[in-house]
Amino acid sequence: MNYKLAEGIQYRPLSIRGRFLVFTTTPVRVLQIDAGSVLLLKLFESGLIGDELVARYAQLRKKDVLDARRELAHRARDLAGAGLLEELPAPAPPRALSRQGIPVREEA
Amino acid sequence: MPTSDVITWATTGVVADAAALLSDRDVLYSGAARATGLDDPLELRLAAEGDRIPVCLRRCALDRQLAGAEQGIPALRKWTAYGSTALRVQAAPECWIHARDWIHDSAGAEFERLFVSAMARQGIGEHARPSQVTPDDEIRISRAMLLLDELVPEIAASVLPFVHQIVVLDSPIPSLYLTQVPETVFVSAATVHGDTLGLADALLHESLHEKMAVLRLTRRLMRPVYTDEHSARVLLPWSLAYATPRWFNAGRVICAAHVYVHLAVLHATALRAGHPERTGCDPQTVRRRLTTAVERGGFLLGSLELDSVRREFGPDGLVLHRELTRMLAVLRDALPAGLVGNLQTWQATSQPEVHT
Repeated sequence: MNYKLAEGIQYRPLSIRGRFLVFTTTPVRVLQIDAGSVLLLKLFESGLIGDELVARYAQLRKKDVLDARRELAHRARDLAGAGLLEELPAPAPPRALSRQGIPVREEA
Repeated sequence: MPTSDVITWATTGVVADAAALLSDRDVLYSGAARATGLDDPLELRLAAEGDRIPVCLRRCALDRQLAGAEQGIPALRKWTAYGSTALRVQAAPECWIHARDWIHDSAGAEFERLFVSAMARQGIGEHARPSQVTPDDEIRISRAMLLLDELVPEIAASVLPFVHQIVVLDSPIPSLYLTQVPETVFVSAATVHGDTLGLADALLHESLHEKMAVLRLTRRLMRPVYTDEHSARVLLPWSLAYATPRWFNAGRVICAAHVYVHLAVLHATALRAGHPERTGCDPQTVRRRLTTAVERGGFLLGSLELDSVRREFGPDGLVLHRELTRMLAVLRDALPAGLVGNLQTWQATSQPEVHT
C-alpha cells in the first residue's frame, strides 16, 4: 500500500449501481471505476496506510484480512496503472547504528 | 413488429435506457467541468429552455479539453443560440430539434469554418456545404419525424433526445454525423427531398450514432486500453465492389450493428404497416432496405463473435452485442419466409490487433 493519491480526485456515481466516474486534475482524466476502488481511494484520502488501511477495508467490505490484502494489492496496482494512484519509492531500510547511536559507515 | 421484447431491449437496461444515459452524460460533464475549471453545462439547463445548443457548446469545449488539447482544431466553437425553426418531436415532447439555417445567421461563418475543417480532415470537405433550409424542408423533416413516431414510437423516444439540430447539406452523401459537431445530424438536400421513409431512416440512423457516442462516454463498451487505431478490424464484404474495400475497427463494427438492427426494426414495421402514401415509397423499396439492414446487421453481429474482435470489448459492449443479437433474432423470426430465404450471408474476415 505504498501509494499516494493523484491530484484532484473526485467521484460521481453513475446510474448503474456500484459504478462511479472518477476525475483527476493533473492531468485531467475521467475513468470509470467500481465502488470497491472508490472505497480504497477514500481510505487513502482519509490518511490511512498499511495494516490500518487493510483492516478498515476488510471491516467495511466484510472480508477477512487476508482476502482484503490480496484484493487491495490488485486494486491498487490497477488504480496506479490508470494514473489514479502514484507509487511511492520504497522506504530505505533502517541504517545500522553503533551502540552509541552513531550510524555505522557503510563499505563501498 | 416491433414485439415488446424488441422494444424492451432497444429502450431499457444499461446500454439502451436513454434517461439513464443522458443523466450519466450530465454527471460526466459536470465532473469534467470541475476538474478542468471550465463552465458546467448543467448551469444552463434551465436558462436554455427550448434550445439546447449553448449547453451542447459547453460540452464541446469539455470534449476538447478532455481529448488533451487542440490537436489541430483551430478554435473553440464560439457560436451561440440563434433563431431557428423548432420541430417538436412528438415521440419525445421534452425534445426539440432545430432545422438550422447556417447560411443566414451570424454564427454561420464560424460554424462553417469548423465544419469544413472537420470534413476536410476526413477527405470529404469539398463534398458537403450547409444548404439553405426552406419551409418545404421543414415540412418534410417534420413529416419524417412524425413517421418515426408512428412506426417506432418507443425507439424514437429513446434515440431522438440525443440530437438537437438537423442541418441540411448540399452534398452527395445522404446523411452523416461528425464527432466534432455533437448532437447534430446532417442530411443532404436530396435525402430531404426523397421519400419520407428514407429521410426517417437517415434521421434515425445518425441519431443512433449520437446515442452511441454517449454510450461510449459513459459505459464500459470497450476494454480499458482499447484504441480505434490499434483495434482488430473486420472487412465489410459489401464494400468489395467499392474502389477501396472498407475495414472497420471493433468500435465501428458495434456502432454499425447498432444502427442496422434498429433500421431493420423500422423497415420491418413499415413493411407490415404499408401506407405508401405516408412512407412515400413502394413495398419493394421498403423490402430492399429491410433486406440490407438485416443482412448487414447479421454480418456485423456475427463478426463480433470472432475472438480477435470480441476481446476488444468491455462488459457493457458484450451486453450490447447480446441485446442486438436478440433483437435481430426476434425480428428475423417475424419476417416473411420469402424474404428470409433470400438473405445473403457472408463469412467474417478479421485482421488482428494492429501494433505500431
